[in-house]
Amino acid sequence: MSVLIPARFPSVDLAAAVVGRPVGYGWIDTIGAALAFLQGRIKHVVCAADYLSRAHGARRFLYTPSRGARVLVVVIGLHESADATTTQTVTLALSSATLLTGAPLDGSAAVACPTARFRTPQQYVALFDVSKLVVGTLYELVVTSAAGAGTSYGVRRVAAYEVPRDATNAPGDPANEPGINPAFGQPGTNLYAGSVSTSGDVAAGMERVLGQLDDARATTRRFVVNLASVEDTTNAWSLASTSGSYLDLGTPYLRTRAKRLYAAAAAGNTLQARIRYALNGTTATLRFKSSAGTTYDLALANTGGAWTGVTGTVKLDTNLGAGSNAQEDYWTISANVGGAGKVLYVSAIAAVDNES
Amino acid sequence: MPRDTLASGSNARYIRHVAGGAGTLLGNGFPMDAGTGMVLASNAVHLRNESLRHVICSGGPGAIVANKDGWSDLAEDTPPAAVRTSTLAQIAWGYSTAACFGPFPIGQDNAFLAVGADDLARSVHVSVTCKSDGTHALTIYFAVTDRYQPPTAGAVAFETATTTSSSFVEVRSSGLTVRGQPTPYPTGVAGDPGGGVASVPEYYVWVGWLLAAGGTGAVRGFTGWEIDG
Repeated sequence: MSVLIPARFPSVDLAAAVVGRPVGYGWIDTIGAALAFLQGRIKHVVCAADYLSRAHGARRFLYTPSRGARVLVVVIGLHESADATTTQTVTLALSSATLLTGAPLDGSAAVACPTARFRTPQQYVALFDVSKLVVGTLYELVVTSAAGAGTSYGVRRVAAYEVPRDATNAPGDPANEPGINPAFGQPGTNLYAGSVSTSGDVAAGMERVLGQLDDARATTRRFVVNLASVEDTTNAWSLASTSGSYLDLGTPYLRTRAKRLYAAAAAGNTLQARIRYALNGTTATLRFKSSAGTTYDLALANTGGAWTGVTGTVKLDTNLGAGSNAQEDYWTISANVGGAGKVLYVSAIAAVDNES
Repeated sequence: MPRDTLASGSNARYIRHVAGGAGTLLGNGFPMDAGTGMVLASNAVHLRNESLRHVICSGGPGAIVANKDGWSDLAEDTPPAAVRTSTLAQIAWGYSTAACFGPFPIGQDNAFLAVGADDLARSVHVSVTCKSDGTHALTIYFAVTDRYQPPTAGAVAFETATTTSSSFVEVRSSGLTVRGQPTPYPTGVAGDPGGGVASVPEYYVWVGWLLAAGGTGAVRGFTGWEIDG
């Protein structure tokens, strides 16, 4: 039996509760519906980019699923070409996930490119089954294009988001489904604390509320930066070594807005950064510098020219003001590359909220 | 209104509690008191307030061509000059003059709209990093459409902003109203209402640019996120 997830966030009136009195079932039921809404309806928007580099190759976007995510929508737009007969192939891949839609975005068929003198809307949509992916694990959504007939220029825009849920399929399964099973409480009675070993009675409801709050705190709105270029030494961002100074990689537009969970400046706003890069015969340090000047460094090892991913922790400044611009910050990304004549190549930059 | 928290403004926060499954908040068999319930409810509302999603993160085209509205690039349905009098039609919104982002699913819980309103969609805020040459105006066009079509074919929201700065600055939209056409997608759950198909209202964000004749300038990047109100 499925349980409906409300289409809107339910109103929670604190004035209805009197301190010192027991809380009734209806109160917890409302909180459960609110959490189901947050985790079931407000799914991740993973990325949306236009004006990607005008070339063929692989682009790697970071993806980590939200609680209860089942289907990921990926929308692709192509760079325009000289005429309507030009084609290319596009192959989507996401480890541990199944591509539900087949051709053409499985790379098995050519897709037509939009022509330069037309603006007729043209986009391609693919769906992934992401139900087997693990919450908290980082995956890569790889978008690879290759030339077909004529002269084509690759993928221009990519957008991806998780399909919102109308209902939970197994509301008694705390590990996989959002919200709280209404059967865990009883109308007209109080909600009692207790062990999950008494699953299904009013006692387990309390554990479920706390667990769902923990989940929502950690997994709601995780993506703050997700940008990828073609992974080759021609199209990726690059930076040649200098005498020990940090140089701008040309990305001051990594503006974002942090999730503000706690009042204390020292807590929260920790993010996990993921970089795809290549180095040959040297090491480098990649530096994230927040608007207030705080720096966070990622050490990049010598990869012998191969492309690899590195993950590290960065932070945004906290208490950045109130109002519609609250919690805004931006990073300047720079790097120090060792060894004369050595070059650092960076093909993807991503950051996700890392609250746990 | 879904904004009832124990503190507001800069004091708003998530109040830590014991982890789920710890079983130590209350003893077995005891009822949960209203104070504890209020903390949990406040936390749920605070998480809603902080769940506004980052939707756009993209580089831009770089250097842009002055006085290029894009209409002459098109071989299709180019309206006569007399028709292109509105601000919305100052650019063609084609590949040389605009970027398109999306689709995005609408979040139906804008806390600043009245309870009972038919449309509670969160608005979207867009920021563009760009520059001109200190003299010539660079106009940035912001638009939202409820389907994948150029804004000239129907925009839900539209506004412009201008800069002449010779160094990179941030040009912002206000909160752009969104509205979307329902698009069917499988939910992956066989027991869901509607046979496992969700009707997701989607919207698109468009950003265009027009640099005054004789100028030099660049558009370096785009950022966007959901906001209340």
